[in-house]
Amino acid sequence: MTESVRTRRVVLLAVLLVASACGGVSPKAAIDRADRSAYVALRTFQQAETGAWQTRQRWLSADRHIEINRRVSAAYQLIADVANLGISLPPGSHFTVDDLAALAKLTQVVADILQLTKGAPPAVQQQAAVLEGKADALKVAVAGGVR
Amino acid sequence: MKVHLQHLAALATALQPFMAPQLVGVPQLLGALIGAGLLTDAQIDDHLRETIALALTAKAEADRAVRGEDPQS
Repeated sequence: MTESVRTRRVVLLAVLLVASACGGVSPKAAIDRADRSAYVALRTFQQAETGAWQTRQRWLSADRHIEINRRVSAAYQLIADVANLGISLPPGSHFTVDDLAALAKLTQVVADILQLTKGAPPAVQQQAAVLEGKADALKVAVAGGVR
Repeated sequence: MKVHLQHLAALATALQPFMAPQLVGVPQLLGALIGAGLLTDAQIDDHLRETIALALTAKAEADRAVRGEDPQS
């Protein structure tokens, strides 16, 4: 190993140590990222479901369309609730166990959406699966900020 | 935390002309670390407010569907 390569590695290690010593992403920042990702996944699913409704796909009855949108509406409200939770979090603070309640509801709502999309084309089911993954990631982000 | 890293990046930039050639990438690396996610709390709050606005707008669309106000074309 040349002196130059060794020096570069030492510098890189030093910078990484400084970054890690400064701490990871704050709970507020983690919530921000995960909440927006959950919103984007839900919006993508909603657009796919609306497309299926507009094109009269057979798997999507009027009753199922209403039930899905009832859950989608609830999920949006929970995403907004979590964002409000993030805004109200004072700098340097952590979430409480009670704050996880909204996430438990979101998990249930997303599970219902997955159930209601059984029989849908793979593209719609895929969007529902992505939504489930993002909701889980949001739960992890909030739980990671609990003290 | 954020202030410390930002100060470190500024210091590294100021010292760049005096650095050994092997060290010239340090300010850029610190800048990338800051840009990668170290926003201020106020910036994060603004982004969260934007998420709320987007979510409530999309929620209104879902509510219209629940009320049967989105007829098929």
